[in-house]
Amino acid sequence: MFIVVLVRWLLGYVSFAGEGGFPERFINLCVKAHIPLWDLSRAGEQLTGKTTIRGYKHIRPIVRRSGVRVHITGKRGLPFWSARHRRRAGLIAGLLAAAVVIACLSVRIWTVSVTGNAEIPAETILAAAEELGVRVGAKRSNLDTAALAESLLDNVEGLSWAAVNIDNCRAVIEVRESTPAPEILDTQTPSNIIADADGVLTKVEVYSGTAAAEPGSGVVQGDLLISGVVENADGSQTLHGAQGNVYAEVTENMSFSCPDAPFLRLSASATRYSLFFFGLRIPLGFSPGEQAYTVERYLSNDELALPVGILRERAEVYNTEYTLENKTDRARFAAARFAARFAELWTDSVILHTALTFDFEAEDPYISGTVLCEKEIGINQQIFVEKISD
Amino acid sequence: MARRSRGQEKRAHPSVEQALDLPEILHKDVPHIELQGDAELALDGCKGILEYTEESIRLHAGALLLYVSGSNLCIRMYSEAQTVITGDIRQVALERVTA
Repeated sequence: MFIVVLVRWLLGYVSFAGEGGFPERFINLCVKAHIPLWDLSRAGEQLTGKTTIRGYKHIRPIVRRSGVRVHITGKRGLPFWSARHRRRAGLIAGLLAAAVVIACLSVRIWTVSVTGNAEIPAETILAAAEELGVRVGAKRSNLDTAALAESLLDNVEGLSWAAVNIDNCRAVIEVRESTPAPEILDTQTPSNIIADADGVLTKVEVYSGTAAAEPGSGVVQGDLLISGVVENADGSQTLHGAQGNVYAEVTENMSFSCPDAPFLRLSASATRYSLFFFGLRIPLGFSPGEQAYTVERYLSNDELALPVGILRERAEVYNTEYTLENKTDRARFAAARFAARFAELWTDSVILHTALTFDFEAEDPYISGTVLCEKEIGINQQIFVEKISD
Repeated sequence: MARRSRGQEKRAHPSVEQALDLPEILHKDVPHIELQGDAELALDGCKGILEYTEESIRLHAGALLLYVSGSNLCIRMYSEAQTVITGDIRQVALERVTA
């Protein structure tokens, strides 16, 4: 029924009322003359109904024959509406433009998203997909999803499965990553484990090779900790790749102050805004340079971002030298450097004791001292073997 | 040679109808009436309106006259193919047309 109502509205129709004469004869003559009538009703002597514009134009002879006096009570539909607004050219043009825009955009991809990736960045997959034609503004009918999925597997390393799903105007790239092969330890190359720092050994774990130092002994950088030379029962020797963990208490000297070396501050910057509309970039100015970074902002709600937005490109040049003059700033800088180094130690080792002195009121604020920590100090060093032919 | 009337021309031969098991309602002369509760009546094969008031409608449906009475009766659609009457239908009566 909705279609019938819509068609009638598009073609336009007239509501009429008639009085007197012979209403039944009027209706019968209308049908014989192929004049469509609907919503006929009677209220006392009055007959009301609706007919098409064309039908009403041909109703005069029937009115004369039936004696019913007919007059229009309403005009509805697109022809009357457009006639009323024919002087508003902008409104009509806007409607037409909206219809064209909707018709054009409904056959194109609006958003491209990636799901199922963990290690591989979505940007990598999106860049590969864009090279294959899956981009904002691409025509949906041109996308062969099966072939695209195959090509994605070839172009992106680390994918075990991929699918490109077109959901109306959204392209969703679903991927599964392959499990990386475990790292194979090199046990064939002969090597020793030596100390990477000075300290007192606390624990020696030997997996392959011969221990060359005992817990409690002090070592300096470069001392042998685990030897790759293993003596057999018959007195012969075999070369192995030494493996194991060696822990030692290590004293870290820390001394930080604000250097007099000048810092660099922002000296010049350039910004350019661009409008982004369905893959089309409209720059609003000159290019800021090749080193520019881009901040993208799109029209979006919590779930979906439309391919309409503003891109902000900004290039910054830091080449103006300056020195921290303020004592507080210099102290803050020294404290920040100390905190960064302490955080590294905290991550890599177990901190046992700290002995620090600082003076932030001095002319040149500083923080210095020692941190005693336990950490692994063994590093592999290859044993170079010279083969002597007989 | 005697000329056949229009109704006789369109009607299929009875033996053919029997052979094909054609239902009676497929005949053009036999009106097809559908009633949905007491709110809507659809009639296929209406030949004309004989009487139309707010309380009653009398239709010419080929070999039958259809009398519908009630209140707020409205002819929602009227064409040679189908006529739809809506309103508060209280009575539907049929009367055979006599020659």
